[in-house]
Amino acid sequence: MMAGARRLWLVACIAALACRAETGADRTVVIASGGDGDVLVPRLWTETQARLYTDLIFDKLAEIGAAQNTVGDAGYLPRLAQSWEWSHDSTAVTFHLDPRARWHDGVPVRAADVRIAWEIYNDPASGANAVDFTALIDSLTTPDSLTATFWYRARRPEMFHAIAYNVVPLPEHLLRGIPHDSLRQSAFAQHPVGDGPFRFVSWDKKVRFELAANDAYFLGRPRIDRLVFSIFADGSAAARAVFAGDADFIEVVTVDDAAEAVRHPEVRLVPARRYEYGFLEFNLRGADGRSPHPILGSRGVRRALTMAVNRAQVVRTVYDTLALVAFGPFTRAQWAADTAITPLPYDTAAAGGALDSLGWRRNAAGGRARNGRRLSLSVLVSTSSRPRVRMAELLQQAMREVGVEVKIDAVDPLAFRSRLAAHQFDAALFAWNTTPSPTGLRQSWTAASFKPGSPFNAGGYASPAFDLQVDSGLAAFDIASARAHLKRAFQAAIDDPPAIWLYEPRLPAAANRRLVIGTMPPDAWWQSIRDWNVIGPAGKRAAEPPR
Amino acid sequence: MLRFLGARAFQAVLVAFVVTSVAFLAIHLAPGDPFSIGPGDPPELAEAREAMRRTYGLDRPLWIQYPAMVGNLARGNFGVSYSHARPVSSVMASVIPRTLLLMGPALLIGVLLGVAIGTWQGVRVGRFSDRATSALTLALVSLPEFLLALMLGTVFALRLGWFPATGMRDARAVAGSWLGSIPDVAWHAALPCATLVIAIAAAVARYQRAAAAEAMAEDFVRAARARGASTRDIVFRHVLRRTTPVVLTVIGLLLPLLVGGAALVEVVFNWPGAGSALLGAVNGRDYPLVIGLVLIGSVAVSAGSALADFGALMANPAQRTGS
Amino acid sequence: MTLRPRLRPGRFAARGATATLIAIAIVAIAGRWIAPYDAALPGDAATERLLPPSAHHLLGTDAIARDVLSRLMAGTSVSIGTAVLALGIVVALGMAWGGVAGMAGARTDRWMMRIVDALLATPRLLVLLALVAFTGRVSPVTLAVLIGLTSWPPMSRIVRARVREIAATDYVAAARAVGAPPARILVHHVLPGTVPAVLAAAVMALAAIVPLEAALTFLGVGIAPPTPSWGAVLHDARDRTLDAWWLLAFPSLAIAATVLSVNVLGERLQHRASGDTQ
Repeated sequence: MMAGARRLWLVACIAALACRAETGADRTVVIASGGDGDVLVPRLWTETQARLYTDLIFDKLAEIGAAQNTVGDAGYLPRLAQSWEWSHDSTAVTFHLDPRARWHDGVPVRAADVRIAWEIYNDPASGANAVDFTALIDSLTTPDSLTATFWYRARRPEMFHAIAYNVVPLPEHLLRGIPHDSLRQSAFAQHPVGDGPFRFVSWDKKVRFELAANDAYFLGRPRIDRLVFSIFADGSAAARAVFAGDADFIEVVTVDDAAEAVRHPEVRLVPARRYEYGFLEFNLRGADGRSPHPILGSRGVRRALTMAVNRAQVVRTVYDTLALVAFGPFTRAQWAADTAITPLPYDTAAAGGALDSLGWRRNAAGGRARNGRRLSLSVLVSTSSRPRVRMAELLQQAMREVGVEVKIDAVDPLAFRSRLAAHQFDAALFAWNTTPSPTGLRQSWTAASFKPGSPFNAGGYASPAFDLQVDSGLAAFDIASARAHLKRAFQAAIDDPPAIWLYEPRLPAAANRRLVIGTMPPDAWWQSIRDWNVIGPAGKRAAEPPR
Repeated sequence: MLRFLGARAFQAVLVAFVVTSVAFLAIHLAPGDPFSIGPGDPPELAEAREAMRRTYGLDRPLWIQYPAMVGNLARGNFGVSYSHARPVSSVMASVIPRTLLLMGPALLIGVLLGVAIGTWQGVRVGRFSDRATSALTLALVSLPEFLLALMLGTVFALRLGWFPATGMRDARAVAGSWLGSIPDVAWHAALPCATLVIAIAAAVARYQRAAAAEAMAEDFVRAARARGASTRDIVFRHVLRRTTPVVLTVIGLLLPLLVGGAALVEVVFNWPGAGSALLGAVNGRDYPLVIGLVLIGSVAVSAGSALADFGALMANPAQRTGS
Repeated sequence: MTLRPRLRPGRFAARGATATLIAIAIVAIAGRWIAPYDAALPGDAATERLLPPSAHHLLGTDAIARDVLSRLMAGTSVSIGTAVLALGIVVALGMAWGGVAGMAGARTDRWMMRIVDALLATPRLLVLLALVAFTGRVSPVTLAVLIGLTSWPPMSRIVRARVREIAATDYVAAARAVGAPPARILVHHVLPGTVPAVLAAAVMALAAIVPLEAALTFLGVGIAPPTPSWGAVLHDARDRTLDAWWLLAFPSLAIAATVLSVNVLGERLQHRASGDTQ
């Protein structure tokens, strides 16, 4: 009976293997993904994964270049727009559409498609998450079927970026009759027709999302045939799928996964630049939102706390070599980055001295107190990020050295968000994802974005000097002047630290060796998929080099 | 009989009501909002998310939301899942069959295996082979399912590469016929299913062993032996018949634990069933989906336990005629 | 035919189980003092991260260079403490509910037991998952309370059965005849008699509660970091089961050894409580 069972089992295994060998031979790429999208219309989604899907299905007018510049149009590469030109006074830009561009159903891409897109994004009823066009753009004219001219209200340094990035043409012939406020619920939003390198095939929500190469793509068909996103509820399972050969690629692996990847010869780590920077944000305000925080309202205390932390060691311990120490509220991948800036030193003696002179005296128990109040802080951190929890534990140790008691308040991600938005924290350890543009600075750190119920500048940092330099930097039309202003802003953010600037992750992607991947643009890694190629069969046992 | 069914129906309704009410309260009193924006989200999403909050009626006070929910549930309307953007009933219709695909075979194989092992042990109770295997089943019962799953996954998927580590189907497979996908699904189900089979078989074997040993010691077995019946005959004619009510009762008791264990195993293997969906819904504060899944899970377990108890009642002639 | 998991375990096994549990109890109480290192203090980032077991670190080190043995020892008090607190709640609720049902009239008793049956049929893990994750931040005490609140029904059944047996004895009838109030009879005369059965059931309940904490914390919805617990060490192990096997193996061993010992001992106690001399 045992022998019979074994034979049956063998047959089942062989059948399964045969089935696998058959399916693994094609040019399909499986991407393991931690989340799924919601609405498949550009700028109408509310899940960031949907942005990725729509970027593959729909093409932009022009694309940011390798330099990731956002001021003016320098470095931008043509996509749907073959070319563009500015009016004499630079208050209008005219895009000339590529006559070869086609929707996936064969209909040519025309100026009317730009118009309907602009109308949809500009209409609050559609619920688009695009920039506020009303302040930027006066009108759109379409002199002929291949020409679209945007008329600006005023000149802005990033006026070109705003259009190239946000106004993604939509198929007018399919959306004509649909009211803007029901677009998100429309059938189109679940199986869209685009004009990009990939076309929509099928979608099993939270399980699988499939695209296929657009054979008729006017800029050249992608080299892979099918692109499947395998959705994982849990990030570590996604990485395991790549290690086990179930999937070919994962966009970012944790530091733990990166170490584990070494055990799998068929998987390689692909370096990636990122737009993320992490920090411990201080709450500068008291519970009422106006008075200064009893401890952290003091600039001297914040500087002392910063100097108490050996940031290089903390980052090294948590991320090994997969993160760099952050300088300030920016990342090295941004054009505005300035790495010649002076950070606060690591100096526990100076930190202790500063706390002493501010009246926070050491007591017998090794802690500090002033007027009967203990120098004790709680650090809010989300349990979803293991590295950040570890970092919080290291900060706790570092602060203890200088007599500051730190309690770790680890909560789940959504509770973290609500605490951040309600400004209910002493210090919060997290990270912002920025874009190539430095506009995020205004959103994240200027006094104007401190609002009740908003997670932006939740610590209530309000420095007129910082705000002025940010505004000037963002308004400058030449890069040199913008850099000079932003450098002064960064220096202010370092000198009166609203946060301890901690780390910039350089976490790699992981890919099966059968994948050939070029450089991944740091703002949108998926833009490189159209250039990917596959060599060799899929699966775990595909480690041998291709013949 | 009617009384039995009535009592069980009452139980199911009670469970449903308590579970939904507790879940509703816990969910709504908890910090966090499914439509908040946070680090990692583009700031321009804030307004769109706020609009969704209103669409789903989360801006209304709890004392309006709660009766509305109970009323809807009573009419069989589970509401709309936020994270899947479609009716909860449709989400459940796709995830629950996948869980059953895992649990059904696991339960069947596990119980058969457990009964076989337990009977084999019960017949030779006290001998070395019995003691050794009993120690093994006890050790396996003591190992939580999720650890077993993690270990099997590490060895057979990650190290040896014999089985896939995650998922239910090969992501590369072309969507084809239902029949053609069976080997693929079976191959993916192998490890999660094996985890559950081991857990079930070990638990069932331990009860079956005691019951079989007890049956073997009874007079009618001695009488049968005296008549010259072989052990095989005795086992199939008498022992198994006597132990069936025990096994059925054990299944009824195991079922709630099994549902929880299966949920964990699903998460470890990223099996896209109800357990994974529940964890996703909990983490995403997808209230309607959490309530729907917990409700269905509880009612299904109540029904399953009732069925097992009913079977035990039917299979036990003494009890049927007695009280 | 009675429902019984196993024949009485051998004396040898029972002694081994007792010894294991005593060892675990000692570590749970004194773990913080006898641990070789500070469980929270990371070692040197460059040289001490993820070391395999060695003479310096008997069970290796974790991703931020902390000693795994020390973390497990500190975690023992959290995991076992949580389980024991939860167990206390289970015993208290179980004795209260079971005692009242056992002493009450047939009608009340039937209703109370129907409710228990209903709760017995709910998948505890699903309910806990919904409850635990929604509390936002979970401390060991919160988790213990939630586990306790969802785990008492089996205990109440056992207590009720014993209470009915004892209530039928002459001794209790005599107390009734003297005119003692039912509550007094319950507390002074009946409940003490249930203790052996409760003890046996409590030990068995422990076998279910310890893995529950580990499972929830492993999933990231249990006890919040940085509190060390067995589940927390497993949570750290999850992504590196191949690379750092010691992170998975040792907490698994701790959990399995505890549950195994508890099972062995619990069965022995159960046999003793039911007066079975087989």
